[in-house]
Amino acid sequence: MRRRNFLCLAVCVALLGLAATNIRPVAAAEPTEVIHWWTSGGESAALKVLVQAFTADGGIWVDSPVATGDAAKTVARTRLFGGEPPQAMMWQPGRQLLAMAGEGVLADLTPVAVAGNWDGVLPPLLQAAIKLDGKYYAVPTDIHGLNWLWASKAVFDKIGAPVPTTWEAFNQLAPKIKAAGYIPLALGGQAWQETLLFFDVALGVGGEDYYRRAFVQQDQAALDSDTLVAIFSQFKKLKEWVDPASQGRDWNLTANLIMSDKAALFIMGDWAKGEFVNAGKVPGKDYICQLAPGTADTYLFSADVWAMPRGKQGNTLSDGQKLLAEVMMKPALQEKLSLVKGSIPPRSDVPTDKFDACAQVAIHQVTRNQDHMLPAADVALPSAVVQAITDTATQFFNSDTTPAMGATQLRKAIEQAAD
Amino acid sequence: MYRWICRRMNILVLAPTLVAMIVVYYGFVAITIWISLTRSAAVPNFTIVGGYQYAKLFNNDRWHVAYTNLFIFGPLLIGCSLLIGLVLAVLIDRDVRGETLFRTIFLYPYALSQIVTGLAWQWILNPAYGIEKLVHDLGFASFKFDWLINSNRAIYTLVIAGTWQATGLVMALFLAGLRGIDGELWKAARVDGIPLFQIYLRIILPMLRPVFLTAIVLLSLSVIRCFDLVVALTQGGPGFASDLPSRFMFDYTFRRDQLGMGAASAVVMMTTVLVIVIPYLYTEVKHKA
Repeated sequence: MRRRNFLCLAVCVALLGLAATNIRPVAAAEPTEVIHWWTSGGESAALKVLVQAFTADGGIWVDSPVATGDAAKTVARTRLFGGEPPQAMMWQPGRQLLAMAGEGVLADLTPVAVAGNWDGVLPPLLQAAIKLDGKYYAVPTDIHGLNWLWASKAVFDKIGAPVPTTWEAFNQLAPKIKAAGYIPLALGGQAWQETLLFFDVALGVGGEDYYRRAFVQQDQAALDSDTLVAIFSQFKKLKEWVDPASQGRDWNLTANLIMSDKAALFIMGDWAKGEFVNAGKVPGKDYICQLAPGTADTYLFSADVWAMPRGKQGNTLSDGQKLLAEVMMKPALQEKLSLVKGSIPPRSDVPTDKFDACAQVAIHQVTRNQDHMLPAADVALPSAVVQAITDTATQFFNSDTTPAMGATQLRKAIEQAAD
Repeated sequence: MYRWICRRMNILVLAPTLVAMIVVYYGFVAITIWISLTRSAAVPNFTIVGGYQYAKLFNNDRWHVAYTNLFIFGPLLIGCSLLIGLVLAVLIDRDVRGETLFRTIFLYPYALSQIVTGLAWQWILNPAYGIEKLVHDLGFASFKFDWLINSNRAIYTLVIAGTWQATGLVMALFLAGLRGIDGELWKAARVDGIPLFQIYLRIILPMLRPVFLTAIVLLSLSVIRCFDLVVALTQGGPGFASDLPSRFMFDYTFRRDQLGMGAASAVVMMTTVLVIVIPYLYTEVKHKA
């Protein structure tokens, strides 16, 4: 009968284990699992700032990093619909976040927002991108801009030319840069990076009004106009100036081409600055930052926001979630985080004196030039449309399609996605 | 009772597998077909709307590229692996010295995961630091081998990497088949003075028919399943020039919140396999009977 005894013991232990998991942990000492995609150098530095602040206030951070935003969102969504959501997950503000909020899977953060006066300190455009029916569904920790140009100072010193401020100027300068033995345009050959470049070209060639009509309001007349063909034409011209090793290269490795003075220009959001900061590079001395060609008057913004899925406790926030939201909105944390990540703080009351020249430009655009801010595609458009544009842009960039055909394909893809 | 159990032992032992098979395999095939007939987006929705997703699928440029690629990638991979695998097996079978060494060398790639294969070939084929660079450094500046970044050629890089990996298995299969051939047969053929090449072509190859069947079925499966190789080697790029249906399906189902379309593409993939494999299996089985 020894075996029977053993079996009985095993069952008892298992039951005990079950009981133990059912005991609710003490208030704020509840583990808070967070899914995010902050895995590059600058990003993990920012994450460290966040985790430290959260831990110092008594939270227990359970880290679930997933490399690349797409994959992280996939994991988070699977867990969400599988009934085992994390306590917090990183997302982008805008349509896709609000669609999830509309499905009722996200917790309402309004109590924390009211207590912390979020309405008074966040830029209105960002508020609109995280609020549904007047309720907050995400906490922003940093604002990013997508229309940034990063240039190697050494390369431009050597060729003795100013950093181009229009795509036309770039077209003329590119052969010279190549002749001098440098890569004119650093680009990582991944669909999202090519698409980011496409949107920056669209903004630079088409201008703010055109961009707003075509890629925010999806105005058919704007999409039908010749401007779209001109955008595709400029976009295709860039292909020639990209190096052959581009295929599949990650953005942080591409940023490294600028740091090591192998390439002249890099078009990327200002999270790229996190990599420069992390490598100890100084703007103006080692590298040059300015807004992408033809986009100096506007700012294509996105942000890192954190949504809190509703758990078994219903619509009320768990203690860990509430604490996390409060910590994330602390001015001191937002300042420290953006300093290492290359972004700017969403709160308008954070002191700006420690920020470098690049961030000052961003802060100016977001605070004093607010009316000219534009939401990035992920913020403004439903995901099916963004994906249709991504597919078309990357396919066009890597094939022999003519600009006119590219424009037609884009219209067709957007039309189908909207169906 | 005891006798009852003993008499039905075979059925009882098979039952769990059978149940799992019916539920997990056929059950989910049925659900997938069902979902493909609905407008499911991020979450499944079981209201049937008809061929909506299929119409959308066949109107999708990316699906066209991925589906066409399957018919370039599949036959080429199977053909190349069979040919090279067979030649290697025949050569090794000619009593070469160090047979074990060669066998291990050729079989080794099969032990690697497709991710490793894909990454290794990505470096080898990358013009900036792979073969092209090597030949340039040797002094042939005009040499060009940029298939990895050429959207008309990228699909062939998958064939190269895939063949490199699968050939060893095919070789091992053929070698086993060749070893099973009676030595007397060789003697008889020699006595009759038939040239070596003719012996292989007319006598040995037809005898290896079952091995061909096994190899083709195994290779076809790996073609349809092929996912990690694309992800690691080309990420479907440049653009989506080297996409395959399995990656398309994964992307739409899990990344793009379009369950219905993902399911529709899975059903089309399955139908394709059935259309090709069933007649083949049928003739093979008939041939045996």
